[in-house]
Amino acid sequence: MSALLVVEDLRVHFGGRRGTEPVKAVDGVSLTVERGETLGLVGESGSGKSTTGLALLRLLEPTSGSVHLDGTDVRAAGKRELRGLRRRMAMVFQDPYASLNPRRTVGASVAEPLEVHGLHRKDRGGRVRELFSLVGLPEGFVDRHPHELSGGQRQRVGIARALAVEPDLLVLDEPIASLDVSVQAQVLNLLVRLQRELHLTYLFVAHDLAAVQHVSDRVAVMRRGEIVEQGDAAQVYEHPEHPYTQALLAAVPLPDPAAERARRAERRSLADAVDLSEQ
Amino acid sequence: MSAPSTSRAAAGQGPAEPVLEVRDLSVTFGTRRGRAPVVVGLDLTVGAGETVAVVGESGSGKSVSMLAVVGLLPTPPAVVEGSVRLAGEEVLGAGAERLREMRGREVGMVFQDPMTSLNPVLTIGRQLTEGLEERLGMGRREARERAAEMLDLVGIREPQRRLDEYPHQFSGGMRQRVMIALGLSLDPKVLIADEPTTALDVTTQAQILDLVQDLQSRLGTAVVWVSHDLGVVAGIADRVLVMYSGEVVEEAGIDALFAAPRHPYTRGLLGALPVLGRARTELATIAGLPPDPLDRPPGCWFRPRCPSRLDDRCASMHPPLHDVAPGHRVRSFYEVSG
Repeated sequence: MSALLVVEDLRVHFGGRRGTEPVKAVDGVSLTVERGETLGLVGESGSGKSTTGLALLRLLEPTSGSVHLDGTDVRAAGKRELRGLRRRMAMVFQDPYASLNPRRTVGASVAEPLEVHGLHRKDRGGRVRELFSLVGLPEGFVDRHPHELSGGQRQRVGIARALAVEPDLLVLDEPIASLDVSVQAQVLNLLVRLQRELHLTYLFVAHDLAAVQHVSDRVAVMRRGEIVEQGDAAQVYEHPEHPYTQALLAAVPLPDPAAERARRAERRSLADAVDLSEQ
Repeated sequence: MSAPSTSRAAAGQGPAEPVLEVRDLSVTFGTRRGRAPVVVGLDLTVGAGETVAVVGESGSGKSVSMLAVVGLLPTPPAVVEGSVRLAGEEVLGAGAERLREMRGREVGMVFQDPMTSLNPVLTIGRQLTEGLEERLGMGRREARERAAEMLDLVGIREPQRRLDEYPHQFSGGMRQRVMIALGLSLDPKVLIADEPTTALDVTTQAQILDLVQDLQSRLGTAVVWVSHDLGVVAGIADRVLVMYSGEVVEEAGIDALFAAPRHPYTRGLLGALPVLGRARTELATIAGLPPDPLDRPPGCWFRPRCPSRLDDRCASMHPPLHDVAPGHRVRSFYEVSG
């Protein structure tokens, strides 16, 4: 395997002019994603995990640090180069309802990146239908509007749109967080299948530790802008080293009443050990 | 009525009068396309000190039925039928004034988003003392003391100082603690908590779950916990009702439901849940979507998505909710097992 994405000492700071302390949303994140693997980036709200994802694609300009995609310096890229890079990495957002234009058909939304990049000029409609069937949507859905689709179907549209440009890397930002449990499973299974079929590389950003474990080869745990622990998924989940990772894992509810009752005591002692307090 | 045999709280006691008794509750909304039955014939009994979870996906009718129970559904457009008894007193048809009295005193409520339930321009202290003064007739000083005690009870440090702060000065988890303090401040017999931890981080969620359990054992309050997440309710509920398309499809004691779910929908939900420690297995899915309440299929409403659907009965008859074991009821002609 070779590294597709290499991020070194990435920082995203907000504000901080006129002597005020900047908000260090991302503060020295380094990570590597190998070709064909899934790196799970987990953290709670405010940990900086989503900001990290946005900064990688320069949908948000990093303050400092370096990002290389397959050897190309993403931060140094000019407009034209950046457009080329955005064919190689695409993003799937949490709320497909907010990320799709309500006035356009979902087929038109999926065709949009093809237009922007001048792809499949001859048979754009055919390519869109192909993408729909790839993500398990009936081809007839191309003429529908977002409000005519369920949440799971809309997220499939979001995935089809991201796949339109045939990227190597997908940054998935909480792709299942706003879906019902049974639909979450459908989308997770779809993502696993697509990765296998299209040899995709994933950066899977999420707060749901069980879902992340389900799809990830390796995981990085973020807290307050920093990665506190990173490693092989099995290793991190079975033998978490950082107390924060331990506290996170102890807080995940298990669908097992007896085990869950037993874990309450464990949870308490860990909460005492790590400062989880808030204002 | 099935005895709450699995209830830890009820164990060893005689059958007490239920604090909440819902019978054949139906909620219908008038829409442009016709009358949509979103809750259909719900029965729910909650004993003193018991925790009952109502689990379902979006559109299952779980939240709407709870709003009906506390008399907060605007009628019209909603049409509410059946019976809801709080500590023996009928809620449906009670006057607005009486309903206001019952809310808080008989039943407390905690909702998903505390920011929309708290008044942003009043201090936390004022919001807590208002009910204590007006409803319990406390004096100003006594009410403030009691409010501080409530904040302390839900784990908020420096309660005296924080009484003078506004909702925006609290984090999401702390606001939810305030909501719980508010919900419990008039010492209701039952607390209805509708997805109170859904918007919270996992570590905060765990703290809130533990907090509610502690308070419940200390105060003896019954809790109805509404959630889409079976994992969340596993550790706190005595009994679970699983709702699908407006009706209960399975009801069982917590251990029985997880160890031996009988309805194919319940099994589907459990199979669809990614579980910590079980990495990289294909998740079971429930194909398709729940039916439109205006266009439910004939026979069993789950049939189009059911992996069993074995004979003509499923297509022609609506399965009744029937007992399959003591305290365990299932709405299916086929009880999957093993």
